[in-house]
Amino acid sequence: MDMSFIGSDMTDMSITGLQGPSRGRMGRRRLEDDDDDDKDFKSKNLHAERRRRQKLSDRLLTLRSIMNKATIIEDAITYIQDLQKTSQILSDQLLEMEGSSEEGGKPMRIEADAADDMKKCGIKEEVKVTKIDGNKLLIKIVIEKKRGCFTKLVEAMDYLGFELSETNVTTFKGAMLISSCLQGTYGDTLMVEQTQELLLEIIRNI
Amino acid sequence: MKVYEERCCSDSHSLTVCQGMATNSHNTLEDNLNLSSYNHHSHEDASAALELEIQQHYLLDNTTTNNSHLIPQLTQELSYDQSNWDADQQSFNMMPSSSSPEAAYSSTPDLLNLFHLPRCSILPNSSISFENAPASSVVYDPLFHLNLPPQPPLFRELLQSLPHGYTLPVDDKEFSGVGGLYHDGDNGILEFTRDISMAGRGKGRDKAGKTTKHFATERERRVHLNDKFQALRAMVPSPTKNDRASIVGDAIEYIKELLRTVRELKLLVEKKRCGQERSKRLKPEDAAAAADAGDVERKPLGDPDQCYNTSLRSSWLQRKSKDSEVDVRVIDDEVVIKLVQRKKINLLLFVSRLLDELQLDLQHVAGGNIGDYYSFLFNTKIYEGSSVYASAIANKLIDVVDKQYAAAPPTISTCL
Repeated sequence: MDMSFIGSDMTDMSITGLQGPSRGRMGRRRLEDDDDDDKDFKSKNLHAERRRRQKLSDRLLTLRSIMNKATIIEDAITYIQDLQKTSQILSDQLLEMEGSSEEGGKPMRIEADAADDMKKCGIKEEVKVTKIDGNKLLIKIVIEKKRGCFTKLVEAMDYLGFELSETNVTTFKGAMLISSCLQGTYGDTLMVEQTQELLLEIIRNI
Repeated sequence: MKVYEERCCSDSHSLTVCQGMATNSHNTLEDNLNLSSYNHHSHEDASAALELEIQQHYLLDNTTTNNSHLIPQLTQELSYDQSNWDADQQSFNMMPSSSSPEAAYSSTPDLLNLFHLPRCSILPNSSISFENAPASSVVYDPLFHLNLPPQPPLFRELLQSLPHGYTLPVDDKEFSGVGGLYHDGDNGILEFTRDISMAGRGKGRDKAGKTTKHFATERERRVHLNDKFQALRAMVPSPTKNDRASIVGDAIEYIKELLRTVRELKLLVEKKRCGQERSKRLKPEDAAAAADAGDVERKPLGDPDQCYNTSLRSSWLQRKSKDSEVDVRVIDDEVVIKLVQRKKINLLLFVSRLLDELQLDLQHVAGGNIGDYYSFLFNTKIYEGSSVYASAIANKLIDVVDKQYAAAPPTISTCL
């Protein structure tokens, strides 16, 4: 009961070092004195540990006390520079490693699966355009998700003078759904059918 | 010219002498100018200088015969220069001089040349009161180009702030010890020396407030400290206000950010290294076989050269500029980017281009127009194999966005 409790404490405080020199005493004493010895070790270690912690905190306090505004600022500057250097070194290292690794195989595989997924779920590519308030059109586009498809879409739209304002894009099962408010970049009114045709054209070319 | 008149005082003559030695210029007008300004800066010093000089002349084994004439000439020169001053500058009567103006005028340049003594020995600034005067105090002296020895900034400031009158209150703290300067006649000179020496050595002049020596170092320290604050501010990527508290606050945030970045980078490097070692081991196998054996790869514990670092990579950053705001959060391989910019350019276009470049796969985008601003949220996934890190993303983003914003012409607001 007692022993086990003390035993766990002993390991916690890692006083294994103390057991060495005191083993002689342990050997000589009887079992009933083990309690006292263990308690002795515990308290000795406690004292030692406490003293060590006290010493550390005292020294830290002194360090803090000798700091004045100027040295604090200087230290901060030095520390920041140091961190910047470290991060620069690490990022260079990373860049270097980037070149030597070969991981190109995986993304292609994922994309190939995407088209399959989409077909399996019955999701079809589509474009739907409706007119809402004023100059705005609401569009809904479903396309097969490919790397960089969204960029191409937005670029094409920008080229045609379309500007997306309120936009929501989600991806699901290898398909991408874009629902967005569309306006003319230069404030011109957009016709529904015309827009629909243009968008379909864009999608076919992506 | 009038300024000089007003600033003349009983010691002007003594300063004349010292000044001449300091600058050693032949241009009398310039001399007078210099003298007057020098006059402003160290009355007591000059008088003490004169005093010292006299002592030195007595003590030194002068090499030139000229020097032996110095002392008697000095005393005479005092009045000469005074009259010279009067003659040239039409100053009001400070000390009735006896000698003729012409003689004084002609002798002044010679006298100036006569003093071959080195500057520092003449002027007691460096030796007596201002031995500890930091060199940087000289920098702030507008008369620095004249190569004057370090002047007590105290005097300079006070005197510069009194363009018209030379009346300094006697009970002014800084002058308390040498208050007698302006009122005593010859006695004053001797007293000045004593006072100056006291000022230099004694720190316990609490009655007087800050001693001149303290004032110099205190000011220098303050300016120095402000420079350091500015340096700190310059290092921070997006500084906000220019007051000390914000600077320190920004620095704290930046340091925390740097620590996060470094931690993230270390993790990435570690992972990359593990990946490379693993791929090296698998090299003899087919690429297809490696893909099939993907399960083996994903169980690092089975590998002899396993990565102990299986901790989750997480990091975040914020960057603010004048018109844009970027917030990037990375957890493992998912990156969430929030972007707010004043409505002007087609944000979606540029951002989606950049995301492709950074090898980020768009999963979800949501956003639109809010008042004057565009606000967007991007959920992305890092493509496998890419080791892009948070701060790179944020920095690039804010760069591109700002650049495009700046490049775009101002748009005509369209009413919708």
